[in-house]
Amino acid sequence: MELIVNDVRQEVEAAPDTPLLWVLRDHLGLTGAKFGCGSGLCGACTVHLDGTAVRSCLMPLAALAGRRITTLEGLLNEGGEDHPLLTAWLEENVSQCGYCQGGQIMSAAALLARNPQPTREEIDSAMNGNLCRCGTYGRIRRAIQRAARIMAARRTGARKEGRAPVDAMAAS
Amino acid sequence: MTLSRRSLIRKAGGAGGALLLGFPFLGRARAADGNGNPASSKEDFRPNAFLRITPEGAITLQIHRAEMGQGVATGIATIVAEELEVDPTVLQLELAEYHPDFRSPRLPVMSTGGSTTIASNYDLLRRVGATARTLLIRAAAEGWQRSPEDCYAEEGRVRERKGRRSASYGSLVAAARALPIPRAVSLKEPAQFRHIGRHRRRLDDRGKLLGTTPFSIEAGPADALRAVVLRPPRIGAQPTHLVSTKARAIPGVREVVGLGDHGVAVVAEDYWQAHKAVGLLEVSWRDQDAPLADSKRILEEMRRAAANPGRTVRREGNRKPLPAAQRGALLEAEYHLPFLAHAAMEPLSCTVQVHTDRCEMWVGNQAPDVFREAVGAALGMPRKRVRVHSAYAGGSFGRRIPPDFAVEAAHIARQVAGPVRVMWSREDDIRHDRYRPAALSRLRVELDKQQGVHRWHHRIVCPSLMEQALPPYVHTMVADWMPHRVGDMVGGIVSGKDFTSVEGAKQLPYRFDGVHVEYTKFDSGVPIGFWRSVGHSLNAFVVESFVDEIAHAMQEDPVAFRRRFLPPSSALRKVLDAATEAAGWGRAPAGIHQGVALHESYGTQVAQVVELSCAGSKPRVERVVCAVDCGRVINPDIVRAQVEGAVVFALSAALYGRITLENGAVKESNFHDYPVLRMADMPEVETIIMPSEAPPRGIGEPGVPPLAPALANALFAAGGGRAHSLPLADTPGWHGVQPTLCLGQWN
Repeated sequence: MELIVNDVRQEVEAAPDTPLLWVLRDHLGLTGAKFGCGSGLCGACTVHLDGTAVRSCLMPLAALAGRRITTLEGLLNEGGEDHPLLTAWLEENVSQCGYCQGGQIMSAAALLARNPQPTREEIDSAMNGNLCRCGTYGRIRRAIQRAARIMAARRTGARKEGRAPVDAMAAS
Repeated sequence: MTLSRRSLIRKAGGAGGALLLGFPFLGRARAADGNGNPASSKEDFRPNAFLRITPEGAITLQIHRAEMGQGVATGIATIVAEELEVDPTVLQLELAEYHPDFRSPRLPVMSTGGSTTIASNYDLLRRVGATARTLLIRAAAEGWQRSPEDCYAEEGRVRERKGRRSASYGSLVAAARALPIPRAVSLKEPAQFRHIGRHRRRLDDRGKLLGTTPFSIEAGPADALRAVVLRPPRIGAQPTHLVSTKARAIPGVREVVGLGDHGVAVVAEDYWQAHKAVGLLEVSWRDQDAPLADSKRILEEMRRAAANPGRTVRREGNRKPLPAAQRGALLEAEYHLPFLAHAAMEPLSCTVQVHTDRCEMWVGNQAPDVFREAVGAALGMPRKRVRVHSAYAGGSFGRRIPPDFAVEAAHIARQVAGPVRVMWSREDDIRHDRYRPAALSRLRVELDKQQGVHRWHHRIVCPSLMEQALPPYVHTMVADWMPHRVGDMVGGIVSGKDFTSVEGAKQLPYRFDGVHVEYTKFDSGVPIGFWRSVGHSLNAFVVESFVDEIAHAMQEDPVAFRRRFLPPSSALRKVLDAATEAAGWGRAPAGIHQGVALHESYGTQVAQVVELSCAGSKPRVERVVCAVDCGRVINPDIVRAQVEGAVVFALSAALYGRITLENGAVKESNFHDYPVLRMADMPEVETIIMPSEAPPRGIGEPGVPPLAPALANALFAAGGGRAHSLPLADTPGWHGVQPTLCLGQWN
């Protein structure tokens, strides 16, 4: 079965009902998506499927032929400048244990791609599926707002220099 | 990733394979030798077990405590870097293997817990950095034929005070290695601190955010098989009959391993295969003769036990009842609290490889020496032959203290060639936890007609943690050959006097006229363990709620009441004043109801004000204002983060936390029926850190105990009645509000 993961075609041999989470972790060595509940309740496994945030623990392999999957590694390891979400997360000292944060960042990226200037209520609503047992929600909120500002500034900067605005979400 | 894991397993020849993709050793470094000496070469400068500096100037620091999110890696590195005169970011951090020098100065075990890491290691770590600095300065001074007083260290170089010469630490390594270790070293004056006490970013988070730092669930050889355990469906149930034909038919399944009364494990090439195969095992279970564990019955039995006197743990002051003429109200109350799960974000896992005469494991744990001792004993190997590679843990809150899940993994791994990673599902994690004990308290107090409080009497009924938790520690502290009976006996002896059961109650800070605290040990038959703030999580709720009941009975403001009975210059009164001042106690806007609580635990004093709004019929925690006195602070932002995290952790438990036993089984299983706080429910948290030059004290746990009573007190102030038990979701005053659920949410 062929998947497109982070723009790379991958050949995967696994049972068709294997959730994408375990395909990524056990077969492709991509451990950025984390196991937290296996039931779509915690968001630690969040990846992008054709640009939309999904819970990979609930996505069977059989449904993914030819679909474009972006993981945390693909979103953040683009080379060059740090992704605005990474910068914001580091500057706000968001992370405690860090286990949920990859999923948080993936959900935040999907939010900002469709809503570049979310209100606090919109952030809470979009992020409500991502649990954090270390209690970093307040910092996550601030980091999303900070990332939104960074991305807006980059778009403005690009326009001022006469360049086409760079889509910071290009990985999706 | 160019090489798939499946192809690795196949290359290794399946079950007989020995392909170990462990730790690559570069260049001429000698491999870590499994006796606590990490990889290093003869040319490196190693003044102690903590630090290593190469001739190229690379500095490696062993982090000898478990990093589970509390920030100890950053804290430890900051302290050492300060005295070593380098920026903390240049240190390469390694999670340490066991070494005798890494044991606690207070207890000869290399364990993390009790909010002790910074407090008990502060001086030691300063000396670690200062010793290296002193030797490097001496090495430079000798090379320049100057006295060490004419030189100083700064930013990784030694410089002359009056002169232009300087030398990098790397260039001084060879000379420093030849110098004798000084017995005494001078430490920096706090006024000179560049890093301690300053805000800084964590040192371990970049890799975690990028997904490159392995957690426990990823640690160890890439070709490890995966194992899932079918656990008894009821406490005490034993397997009598196993049919594994269907399970073995799942492609990728390698072994089915019986674990005696513990259950049955399936070992497979990947997690999903093991998980599916476990679902196809056919097992009959036989229950023992004892009654099945049941929450209602446990509560009734604790009530009956509370009718009789317990063992007195504190009795002082007035014992005589008030004369009739002076009597005011007599207040009595009964409180009870449920079992609670840890529910850390990362479910448990443990990777083990058993060889004929040695064993290696990779696991997030809170005591490498306790783990190696327990696994060694289980396998019949001397502890020196067991190697523990610690890993970052995705939270723990005390779950990774007992070595049970490592012993289980060792029993499975010994039946399989090659490494095996045993993985717990979320259902396993919630249903087979070692819970924060349930407890029941009876309180009674006599009030007189002049606002006096007499004969505070607190009777506690709860299981003994020490009875279950102490034996592995005792086994670790005594020699290999000492029989385990010794540890078990000590646990039994201590259990009747279990200090964890009465902590936070025995140390009642209020100067009432007569205090009597009693404890009755109660056996619930339910596995129990350490849960963030331990006995304080039980007793602070009871004490600070009942204190509020007294204040209201006297029609006195709860803050004024507390101030009246706390010693005037006490740290507790100061944090109370700081928190209530910052929260504008008594001046909240309409619709906001305030509750207060204070508590001291692990040496640290905390006061919290919870503000509740009741717009419509749904109460909401809007803000929590905390004042904390934890001595000198290494990293203020990490202290704030710990307080925020403790508030969220405690709030989840207070609102929703409940483990229900029915017919011997835990009812709850995942986040739909064991809900925890989500972002929409997160309050604003303000933290006031009391300035202090006193030695550092603990902060990992102290933010937890006062939250539940402050919240219950706010609920009472809002007219929601007095909560005598938790969670509040079960309390009528909370209007039966249920937590929000998120099932497969799509953005």
